[in-house]
Amino acid sequence: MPSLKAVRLRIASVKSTQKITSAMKMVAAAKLRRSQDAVVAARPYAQTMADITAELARATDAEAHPLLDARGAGRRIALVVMTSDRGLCGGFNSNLCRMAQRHAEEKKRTGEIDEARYEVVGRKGRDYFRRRKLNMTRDLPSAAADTALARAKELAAAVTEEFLSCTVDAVLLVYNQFKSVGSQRPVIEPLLPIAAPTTATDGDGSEFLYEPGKDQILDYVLTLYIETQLHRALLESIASEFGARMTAMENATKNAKEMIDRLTLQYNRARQSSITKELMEIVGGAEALKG
Amino acid sequence: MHLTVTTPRGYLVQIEAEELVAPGLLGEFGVLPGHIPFMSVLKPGVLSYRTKEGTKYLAVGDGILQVARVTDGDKVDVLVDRGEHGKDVDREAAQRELAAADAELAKSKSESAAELKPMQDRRAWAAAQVEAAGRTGAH
Repeated sequence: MPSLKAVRLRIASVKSTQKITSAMKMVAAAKLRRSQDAVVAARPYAQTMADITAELARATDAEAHPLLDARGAGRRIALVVMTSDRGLCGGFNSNLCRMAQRHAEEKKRTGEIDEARYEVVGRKGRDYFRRRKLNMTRDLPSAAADTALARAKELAAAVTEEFLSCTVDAVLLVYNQFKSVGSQRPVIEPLLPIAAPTTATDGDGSEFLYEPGKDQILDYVLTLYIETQLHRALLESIASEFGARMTAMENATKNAKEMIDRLTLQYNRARQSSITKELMEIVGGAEALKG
Repeated sequence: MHLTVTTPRGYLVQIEAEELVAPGLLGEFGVLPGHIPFMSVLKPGVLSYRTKEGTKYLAVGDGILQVARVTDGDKVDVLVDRGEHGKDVDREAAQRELAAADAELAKSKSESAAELKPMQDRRAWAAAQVEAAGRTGAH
């Protein structure tokens, strides 16, 4: 049994860890609320944008615009992986990176693709792919809600350029989708080429009139579509990060509390047994003197 | 026809409108119920729409407008990077912003489009706000 002093020190140290984790939980909760509002507000815009783009893509031949060109289903793909700069958020980053890596390796094994490259947002993702010496061609720092749009534009320009110059044949988005405070789901979504939906929507399929011209509309809408999707994914990722951190810190605080309870019990037992031992010694000494 | 105006910050307008006038890249155009399917790029300016309660004015930024026929009538989707109701515009602040943007443009010696673009955007948005506020106030 450890000494009384050792147990007491242990309790003090767990208590201060608990203070830190519960403070981090509060911070994550406060930031979560703000980023949750941002992602919820951004969804309708992104959804309408996606609907309009789908409509446009369906009414257009795939040859009409290079961004719609699905050349041979993509032999070389780029995965845009959105992680966070900071850790202490449970399996948020590692699950996502592992999923991206597994997806790429699976496709390579089945011969669907020849080469995969990773374009990483966030320091944690960068560290993951660098440590494994995987083909990481770009790494950017993670964004906050107010810098997400600028980062999305930067990324959009970069991946569009790579796609148009035929450096890659397809671009996939890998990010944590924000479901609720307690649940984030890592997802893989195709970004480029922009695919026309095969199912009919509520439109009657009639031809649109375009102003100024169809080509200008396509250029404008498709560019904006890519930026919007990246922006939304970044916001989802940011909200998910805080959600994941809040859950992780709540668990850590709970674990610390359990540990303190257990150590306190141990401390009390040790104290009681030392008192009992002392008493026995005194009683024993008195008995000996009597005899 | 059902009009929806959406910005990256959420819905701005969701309403049954009888008529709308939007600032297209090639000039203003009107949309009435029964319009053929149509898509246009918008430039910063004032978008006005008429409902049973009267005419409202919105300052809008860059964006697109789509008219589509759906099963229960027409729908008009407007996607803009920013938008503000004319009645919500702080008119004095917008006018100051417009003057500041004009001064910045006048001072700039730059010839490159990339450098002028942010200044022109700033001016266009301020001008849209001033106009939307002015037209709202005139009624």
